[in-house]
Amino acid sequence: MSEIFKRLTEAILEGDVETAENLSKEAIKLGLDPLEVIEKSVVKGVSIVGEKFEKGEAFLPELIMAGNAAQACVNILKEEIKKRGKRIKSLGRVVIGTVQGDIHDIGKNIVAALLVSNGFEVYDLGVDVPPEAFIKKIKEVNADVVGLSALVSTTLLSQEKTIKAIEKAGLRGKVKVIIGGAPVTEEWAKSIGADAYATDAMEGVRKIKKLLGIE
Amino acid sequence: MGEIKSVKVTRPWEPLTRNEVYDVHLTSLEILEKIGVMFSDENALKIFSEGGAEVQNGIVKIPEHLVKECIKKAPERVTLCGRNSRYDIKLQDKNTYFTACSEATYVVDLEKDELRLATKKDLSDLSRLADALEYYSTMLPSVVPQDVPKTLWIQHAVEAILNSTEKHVFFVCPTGTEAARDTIKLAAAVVGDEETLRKKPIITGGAFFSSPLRMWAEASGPLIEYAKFGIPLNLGNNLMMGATCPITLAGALAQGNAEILSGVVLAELVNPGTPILYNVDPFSMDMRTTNIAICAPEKGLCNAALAQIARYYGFPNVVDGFSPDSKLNDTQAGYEKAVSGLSSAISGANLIMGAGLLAYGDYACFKSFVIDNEMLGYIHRVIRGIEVNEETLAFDVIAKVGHKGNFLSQRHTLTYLKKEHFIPELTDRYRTEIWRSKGSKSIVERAREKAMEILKSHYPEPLEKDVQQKLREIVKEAERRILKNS
Repeated sequence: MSEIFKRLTEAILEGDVETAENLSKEAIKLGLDPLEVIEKSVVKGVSIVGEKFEKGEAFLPELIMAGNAAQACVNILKEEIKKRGKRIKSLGRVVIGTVQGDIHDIGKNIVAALLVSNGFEVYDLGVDVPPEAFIKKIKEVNADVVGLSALVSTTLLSQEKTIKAIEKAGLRGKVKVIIGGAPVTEEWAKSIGADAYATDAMEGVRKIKKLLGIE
Repeated sequence: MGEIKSVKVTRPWEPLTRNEVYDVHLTSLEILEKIGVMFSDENALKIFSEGGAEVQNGIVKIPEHLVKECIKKAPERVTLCGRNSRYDIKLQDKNTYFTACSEATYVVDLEKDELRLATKKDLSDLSRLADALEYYSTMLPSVVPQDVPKTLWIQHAVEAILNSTEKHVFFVCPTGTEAARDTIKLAAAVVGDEETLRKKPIITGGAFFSSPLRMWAEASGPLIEYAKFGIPLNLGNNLMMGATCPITLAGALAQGNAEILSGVVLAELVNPGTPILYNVDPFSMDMRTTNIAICAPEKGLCNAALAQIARYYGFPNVVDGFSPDSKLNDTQAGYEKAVSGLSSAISGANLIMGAGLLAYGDYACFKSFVIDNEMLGYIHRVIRGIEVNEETLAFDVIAKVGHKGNFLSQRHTLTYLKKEHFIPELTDRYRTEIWRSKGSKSIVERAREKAMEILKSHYPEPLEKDVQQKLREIVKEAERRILKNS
């Protein structure tokens, strides 16, 4: 049993999606507890890469690839967890997306990958996401945090629009809002009522942790 | 610590046309034949005369055929050996390596950040830095220790360096025959005996012309001594343009080349096959201050031309490349070093000196040693060029990513990241806030920390106790002999 955990951790470290998926399926077949699989091998793998990245010993592509492999495992194990009537333990649930009118996704993707490697459950809505889609997902997964990304100055207004819609939907007390993107400033974040802002991915993760009182 | 970083420059920058190189060559031949070079040493004059040169009143005029014969005798490939063979470097063709610069009087104290006279311990510490840093291919007497008798400084310097690095000890430029012999003794003690030293030269001897067109006995003595012994010989000069050679760059090249060629003739007459490192060193003079300007834009330009000329003859070459005129590790030092260093490197010069010094070579600086290693990483990356093949053109990866997604999650990205992109160690690339949270440090402060860390932890493989003892004895013996006579 410990052998398969070890191999799965290695597949995550290698960013080998295919092997990671196969091993996840094998674990289910063997009747292993999917939560234990996630905790003992998937989370372990991404944390190792995450720590290395923080120390400057691993590079972004390694982190993203490990994140992708981890996500692939979770997607497979999720069903089994549901069947057993359990829930994935995580640092928190984060809904993330690039706001309506903006199609830039590289920054948002990096933040999502970093969140995964830090142990968050991430729901990535992609790009050009209308306010309603954010709201729907926040409700569905009972999100702790929503992250609104924008790269272009003109689409910053969509961040404001989305926050207003979240307020209107009565979710403002339940979900913390963080905005991100190169043109974002502290002043802008304050003026539109965001709880936090970040201008790079590492900072984003740190601020989300702070919002949730972690560390 | 890792291997020495070197690179072969595939398409060198050549500021001269083939005809212009030829014109320099012809002018040098004419200088040698009609004007001649002055040698003060009777022994040198005798060798020239017996070899077929015309000698009159200390002036040696060398016919074209003799110059050409001697050029042919010098090898096109010279290997400089480290006492650890993994540090051997091959100077040939367009292989490019970097190294420190030589003979500063002062040192910038690492802890107090003050200028003070350099000591023998400084030279040991600087050598340990060069031993640890991957772009230093060799170490040389970066400082002249001021706490040892002046007439014995080279013996002390060589002892200090041999004890503090496993890399080759380059450009040992003693005054007088006796001192040259002592340096050979020291190196031989390290490798075992003189016979082994001939096969595994862990030091390079040096001899300088005193331009214009002169070499004193203090320099030709060592030249003859090293040539007799058969270890690599770095033949150099100091051409102050407008003072010790013509103000024009072409004139400096022609005269400088003629001087070195006369040295080649002497060395090859003494011992055919003596390995020559061709080191013409023209620099500007600031005519407003009377001071030298060793890192003017003309420096790198001349160096590139000299690499061309050396290749024309087939000599491995050395250029004094990028020691800044600035007194501080400031923006001036930055652009001086970058412009001169890069222009020298893209020319395919074999060994580029200059790292670790400030103030036209007057101060050695621990922080500069570390900063320059980082800068050489940048330069090294530039001259390494662009690899073009099916894998690097990456059509398949472009097709795979298409119009969605990104390249971060492609294995191709990870595979080629380190191969294609230089990853700096000291250069700041943080976002402002992170940089502030780390103390808002400049490169100079970061370099100081790294230098301290290396000096605290890095020690090369020590020489055997009895070898250390032998080196001590050779220096002591030289001290007794030389101080008694003076």
